[in-house]
Amino acid sequence: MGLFLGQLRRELVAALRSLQEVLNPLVFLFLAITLFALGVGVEPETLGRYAPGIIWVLVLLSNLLALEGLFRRDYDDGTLEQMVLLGRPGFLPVLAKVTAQWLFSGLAMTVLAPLAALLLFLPGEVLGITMLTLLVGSPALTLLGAVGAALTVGLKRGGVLLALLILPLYVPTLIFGAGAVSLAMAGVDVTAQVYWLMAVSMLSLTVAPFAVQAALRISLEQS
Amino acid sequence: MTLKELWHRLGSPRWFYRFSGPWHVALGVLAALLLTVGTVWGLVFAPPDYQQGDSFRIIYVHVPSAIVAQSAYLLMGAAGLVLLVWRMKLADMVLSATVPFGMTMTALALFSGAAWGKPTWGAWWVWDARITSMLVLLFLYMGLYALRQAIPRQETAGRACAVLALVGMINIPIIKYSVDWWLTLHQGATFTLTEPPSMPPQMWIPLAINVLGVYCLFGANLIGRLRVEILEREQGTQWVRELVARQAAGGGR
Amino acid sequence: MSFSSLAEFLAMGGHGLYVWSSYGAAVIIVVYNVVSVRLRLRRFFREARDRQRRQPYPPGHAGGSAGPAAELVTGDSTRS
Repeated sequence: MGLFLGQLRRELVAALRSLQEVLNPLVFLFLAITLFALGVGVEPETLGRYAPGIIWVLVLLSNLLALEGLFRRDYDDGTLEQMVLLGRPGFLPVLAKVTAQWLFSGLAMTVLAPLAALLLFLPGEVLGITMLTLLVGSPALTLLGAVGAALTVGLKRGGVLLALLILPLYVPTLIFGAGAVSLAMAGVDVTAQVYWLMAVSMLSLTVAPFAVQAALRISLEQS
Repeated sequence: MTLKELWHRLGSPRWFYRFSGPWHVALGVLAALLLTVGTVWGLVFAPPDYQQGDSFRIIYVHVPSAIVAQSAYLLMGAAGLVLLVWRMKLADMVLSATVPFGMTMTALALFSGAAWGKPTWGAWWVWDARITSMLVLLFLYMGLYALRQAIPRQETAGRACAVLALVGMINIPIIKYSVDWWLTLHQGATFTLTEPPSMPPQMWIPLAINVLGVYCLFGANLIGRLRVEILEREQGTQWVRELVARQAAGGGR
Repeated sequence: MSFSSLAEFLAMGGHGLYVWSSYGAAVIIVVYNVVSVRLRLRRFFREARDRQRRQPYPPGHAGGSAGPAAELVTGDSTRS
């Protein structure tokens, strides 16, 4: 536990030092929302109806942009090698890195969701459920994405490849997340969908750290 | 030979090359026979569907290709597990040899699904649950293919693909379920193409034959690709050199 | 038999385009899968034969035909 917290603290300090890098995906999220409004049109009726899907798809993509840098810096300066090859229970530092990543992407996007909802005319009464689905669904995005980031970390121009590897795995989270908000707009109970999001996140939590660790070992062995 | 002995011998590409020769031929012949019988039966002798008419005959392409494409992905997941746990070289070869077959079969299932959808639903593309799942499967295959191409070192590429195939395999049931659920959200009732129980034997027997045939084709094709892969990877060894020398002298394989 | 003439068979009750394009795609994909392996096998034997003519003995000749030693050699395999 101490190992986990120590690593987490280091990650947070590092993230705060390079704040611009952390903020870029969030800026992208709002830039893309603006583009959607410009492209789809600004009638509250239309935009509000598509808002759940737009928000969820853009959260997916922003997460993806954030993930590209997850292991990059540690890979370049050799810290990653220390972490994976010398780390005692190797998945704890990995988990700490992913947690830090989630705080600045998944959680930050959840906190900023009201602003996104405002811009997209999402009905106010489903704001709560939107934030809830983002909160319980986004851990899966970060965890699954970390597997892809670990697999592509050693490669030049891994960005598009990362998208190709990871986006298909995001399908269930997108469907349940956006579906829950759409259903909530129609006044239907969405407890089941929220449970599904939690289940996907929990499954990712049990599988992904080990997959990330294995993938990092594989990526390191080619350098 | 016991199962345990077989398992150990599978670790030797050379042994597998020797052992698989007859199987390659047998499965290939069986596949050709079954697919010919099933296709001719389905195209010529099966009665037309009372609702869809003759367009239902696409089922003899669509269903076998879709089934074998999904099975191929499961096999890759299993091969990935074997590779990561036991580091068996043959598993890596299975992983790389399955991708082209699985990917082309997925594409065929999608294409025939579209060609079936046009006369049945009046549109080339419908977001049907099964077709959507196949589309996601195609992207999963493409990801595996792209990852292997992107990593220069062969052994590294194989193990990276193994991790991805495993994660993908765990995800496939969830993807399928979520797509099913998503469809009930967007469409009142899912239109199912043909339910097997309502099909008369003259319709489903050729289908079963074609499904069996496409599995044999998969087996034969997989063995064929494995044999080439083995030769290419082992080309510095004595036994491959002898084989090449014999082949050059006209001794065949 | 559910067709009475060849023309009827080709027309497929008006759905000929869809049925035959599906079967055509199936043939193309099956043939591609079979032929691509054949061509790769043939290319391997041709290139290996040329290589062995230029260099009659393998670099690490001691390998012999013993199983375990042969398995250790990965070789500089050509990747497609």
